[in-house]
Amino acid sequence: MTRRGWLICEALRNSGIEYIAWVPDSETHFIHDAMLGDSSLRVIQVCSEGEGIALCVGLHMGGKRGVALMENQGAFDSGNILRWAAGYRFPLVLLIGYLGYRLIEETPAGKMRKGQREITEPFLKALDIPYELVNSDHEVDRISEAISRAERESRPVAVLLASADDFVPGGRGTDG
Amino acid sequence: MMQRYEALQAIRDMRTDEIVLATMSAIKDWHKLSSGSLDFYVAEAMGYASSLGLGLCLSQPDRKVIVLDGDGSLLMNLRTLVTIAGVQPDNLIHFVLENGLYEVPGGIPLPGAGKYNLTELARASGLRAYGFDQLADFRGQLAAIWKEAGPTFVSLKVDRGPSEPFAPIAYVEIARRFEQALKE
Repeated sequence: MTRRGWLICEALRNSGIEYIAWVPDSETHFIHDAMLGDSSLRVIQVCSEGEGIALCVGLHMGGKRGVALMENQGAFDSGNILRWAAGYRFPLVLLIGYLGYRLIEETPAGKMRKGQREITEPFLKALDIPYELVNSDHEVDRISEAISRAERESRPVAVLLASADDFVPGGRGTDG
Repeated sequence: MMQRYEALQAIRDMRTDEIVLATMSAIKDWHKLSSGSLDFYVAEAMGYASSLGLGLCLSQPDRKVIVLDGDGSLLMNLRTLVTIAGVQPDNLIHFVLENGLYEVPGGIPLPGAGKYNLTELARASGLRAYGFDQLADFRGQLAAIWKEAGPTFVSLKVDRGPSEPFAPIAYVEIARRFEQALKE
């Protein structure tokens, strides 16, 4: 379990988040153990990211607070439901695993494909969804700020989460 | 086959204080039958009415949630059946009005229309599922289905609805009214 994963769960709890609608992804592998071990966060596994977004809208309308946790590729797949939620000004919070962020940062010569890095932020901008990046432990409080902003401004807000462990997509992480 | 309006009339007659989410063509008829504060129209969020309904089931566990879906919409998000079966909300009834058509863009046949069975797909996904193609049968079973613990899937075989445009509906304002009603 990583310290950042635990800090993120703590930030969610402290912001009154009760539900996480979740499609697993490799970039946020570092959160999984902390999230699944936290009895005050109810994790709802969905088959697709769009379902998670719609589920969070339903939670909000019914008076509960949730976040949708997904990878950037899942966000791309959810373009229409995101556009719909933004148009209705639902205060959604998206935690998005930023596939490609760290690897490209560390290998500017281009050892890793660039697609996700070049598309992720323009994709959110096109939908007029503001976002923050969390790439260190001390930036985790940006999640609480995003939750507050979503509610204050009644709009979807995203937090891009860079990987915080040595998990290799498709492989096994340091924790086995 | 049933007329969609008649099938929805049967649901309206059974309904008391349940949440109702209607999507796509079902909006046209449900809007004529009911326009109260617990009605929400899921327009343009293609395929996701049942996912939104699942969120409402979790956040409003003491209310029954009725989803009025279409077959074209469901096929855009067929995985919802598996997700709902996994969560097992006991307050959800997911009705699907099956006419084998994308009705909104002019009545285009669905891919594979007539070759699949949504009731069996729902059952195979882990849901209790019923299918009706006669109004009398549906009306005869509806009270019992209504009382059962969900999640329940109900396919209703209906004719193509009348060719008429959507009535002007203030969707966003209705969403705010709906949210407010759930707070009261």
